[in-house]
Order: sequence, then C-alpha cells, then structure tokens
Amino acid sequence: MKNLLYKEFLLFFHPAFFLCLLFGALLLIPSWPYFIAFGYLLFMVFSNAFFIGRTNRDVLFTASLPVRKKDLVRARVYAVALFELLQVITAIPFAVINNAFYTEGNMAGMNTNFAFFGFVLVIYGLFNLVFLPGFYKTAYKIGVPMILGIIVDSVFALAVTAAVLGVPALNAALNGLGAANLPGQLPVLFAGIALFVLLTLVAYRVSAKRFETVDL
Amino acid sequence: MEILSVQGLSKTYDKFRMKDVSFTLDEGYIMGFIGRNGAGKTTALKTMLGLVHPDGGRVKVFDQEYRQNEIALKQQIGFMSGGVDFYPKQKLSVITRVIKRFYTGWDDSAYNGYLERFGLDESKKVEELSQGMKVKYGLALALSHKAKLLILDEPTSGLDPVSRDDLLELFQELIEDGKKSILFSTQITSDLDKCADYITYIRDGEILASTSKDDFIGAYKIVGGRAVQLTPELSARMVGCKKNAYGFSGLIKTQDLPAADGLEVSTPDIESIMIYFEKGCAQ
Repeated sequence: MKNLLYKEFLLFFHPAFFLCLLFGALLLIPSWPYFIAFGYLLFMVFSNAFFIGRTNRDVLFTASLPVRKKDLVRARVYAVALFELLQVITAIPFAVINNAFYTEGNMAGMNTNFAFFGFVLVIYGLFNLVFLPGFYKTAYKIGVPMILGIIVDSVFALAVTAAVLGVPALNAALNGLGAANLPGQLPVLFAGIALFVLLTLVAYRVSAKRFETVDL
Repeated sequence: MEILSVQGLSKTYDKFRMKDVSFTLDEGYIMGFIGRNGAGKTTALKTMLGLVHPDGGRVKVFDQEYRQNEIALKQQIGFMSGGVDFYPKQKLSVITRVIKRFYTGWDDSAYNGYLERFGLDESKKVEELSQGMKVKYGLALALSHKAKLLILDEPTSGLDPVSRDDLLELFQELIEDGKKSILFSTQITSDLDKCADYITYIRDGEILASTSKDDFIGAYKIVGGRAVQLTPELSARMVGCKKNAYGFSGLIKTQDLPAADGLEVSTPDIESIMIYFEKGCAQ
C-alpha cells in the first residue's frame, strides 16, 4: 500500500496539485456561498488528475505491477480522501480569519463554523460515493461520473444552505459563530466526519468490486 | 522445464471470440506469437496475465496456477505492451524510482549495468526515447527485477530494420543462460525467421499451430504449376492458393502433397504460410 501511495503522489497527483489546496483562501471573500470553495478540489484537481492519468495510461501501468486490483483502488481512494482532508484542514485557518473579521456573518450562505465543516465532509463523502464507483465501472470514463458527483454535491449544498438560512430553528442551531454555539454544532461536525468515513469506505468497496470485473 | 503453460483460454466479446488458446513454453526458449491485426494476440497475452478476465481456461507459470499466485508470479514476469509508453512526460529516473519499490528482487547494480549497456540516459523523459529505446528501457526494468519470463506485445512494431535486428539479437543473448524465456507477439514474420525457437500462430482467435519453427515450416510446402494442373482435388487439399492466367501457386500440408509429377514444390517461409492461410483460395 505504501508503494502504491508513493506512486499516487509521485506520478498520478502531480505535486503542483497541492497548490490548489490554497483555494481554502476563498473563505476570505466577504459573504459568499463558501461551499463553492471546496468544489475546486473536485472539478480542478480530481478532474484534471484523472484525465491526465488516463492519457498517461495509469490504470494499465499500475495493473501491470505486482499488486492486487483492489489495492490499486484502495490507494487511489486513500489518496483522494487525503486530498479532501487536507483541503478541509487548509481551509480552517482562513475560516478563523473569516470569523474574526466578518463578525456580522455571511449574507450569501452559511457561516464557516463547525457545522459548516461537517457539511463539507459530507459533500466530499457524497462525491466519493458517486464519482469513484462511477469511474471504476470502466476505469476510463471520467466525464459523466464527475458531472454526476458535482450535481449531487450541488444539490446537497443548496439544500443545506436553504434549510439553514430558511428554517429559523436550524439557523439558530447551526449558523451561529463563536464558541457559544459549540454544543449544537459539534454533533454535526462529528456526524460529518463519520459520514465522510462511511461514504468513502462504501465508495472503496463498490469501486474495488466493479474494477475487479473490468477488462483492461 | 515448462515455464509457461496455457490451456483452453477463452474470451468472448461482442464482436470477437478467442477460443481454446493452448500452448506451452519451455525455459530458455523464444516463442514468437504471430497473427494478423485483430487476430487476438493482445487479447490472449492480456488474458494470460489476468488484465482481461478469461471466460475459461487456465494458465500456469513456473508450474504454479497463475490466478491463485498472480502477485508472487508477477515478480518474475516482465510484461510490456509495445515499449514503455506510460507517463511520457516523466523522466526515466522517476518511473524507475516508482517501479523498483514493487519488486523484491530489484537489483540496482544490474539496472545501472543495463542502462549503460543499452545507452539509456535516466535524465531523459520517456517521450524523448526512440521506439527502440522505449523497448530497451522496458527490458532493463524487467531484467533488473530478475524477470525470468518476458511477455512482450509487439516489441518490434515501429522499429527500423537495424533497430529490429539489434533487438532480436538482444533477445537471443538474453536467453543464452537457459534460464529466461521470451514470448513475443509480432506480425513481422522475419522477426521469427531470425530469432524464434517456437511459433504459435493465432488466427481469428484460434491457435492454428504451436510448434517448433522447423516443424512449422516443415509441415507445409508451396506447390505451383500450370492452370491445367490445378485439379479440383488438388484445389480442395490446398490451404490457400493464388491463380492467374498462366498458372497457380498454393500452400499445402506436406502430408497432403500429391505424388503427381510436373508440379513445382518448394519450401515456404513463415510469411508465405501466413499469407496463404489468411487469404485462403480466391476463386
């Protein structure tokens, strides 16, 4: 697994992609639908990496090595999940700055609080669940699974934003800023972490099962 | 010792069917795998290696079931489709750095030796290598992890005659120690004349012959004569033939050779056998 991850980060994900994690700085925009900042990882980094990987014949290259097909999938899922976690972690300092400077709150969407990051993790988990098994069905078709993943994420982000901003009870519980709101928001964050892990694991299992039947 | 045994391998696609592919390869020999484009060479090789799922059949490598021991056996197999053509923008040093980690028997000094011998510069990108050098780089990788079975899909395709000859000589040199074997597919029959010990001929997904080169050539004769000598009986016996206003020539199994006088009989080369087989008897 260590060797496969080494390959993922030396060949598949070009080191320059790590610079894209700085999209977390978009949280410094005053009043914005901040969920979008986390989408760049999907439609810029993952989209490009998978298309470039296909051009580089990554799947056949990796499958020719002495590795099990399911480990090949596992390494990719780990790498994707790691990128997503790094994106969340990189965004946290910018969220702190956002909260410190924009004390009046976000006029265009949810505030970047603990619950927000819980929802971001669900967004990534849902993307993994839709995109990865979609890709590993053929191991070369990227466009449709990518679009479907982004659509599912957009619908979820819109629904969360509408619910949190539109339902006063939810707004009070989940949209507040500051430590006083921790008791209401931490469960959402933890639920987000749990769902991210769960959805990603399901994504891995389905992807590995599908890839096993693919003829290369 | 049998290094590779393929028995009854089959695979069905919508528009192509590979049927009952069976052959064996002994240690220390080169087998040429021939067939025209689309005959099923690549499918057969990929199915053997588990990259394509077979519908039936079994593969044994070093006397072990391949499917059950795939990971361990891959340590001793070098597979290459054409030359190394993945990650073309990467330097050879980067590709090697990744690949060597997967092989327990990787030998750095052997690798450096092959780089020097093949004139490969590690600081070059894959795309900067000529087709011949891409094949040699692939061989350097395979030999550095001490692969004993080299399975090469059309390694000579796209090479100029000199590079091809150079590569075929290298193949022969590699098996000199009697411990390695090479199975390579090609559609260039002169490759086989030069270096193959055995020939496996695939046509429309079926193995027509898998035997030593001498037996393969010895099994057929070319007969020729005037148009009037082409009796219906002779025509029926021939595997393939060409006719014109002055006469005919055709391929016939040696055992079916008629005793009749007056026919010109000659020994075919591999190319003639393949052409007559593929074209059949045009009416």
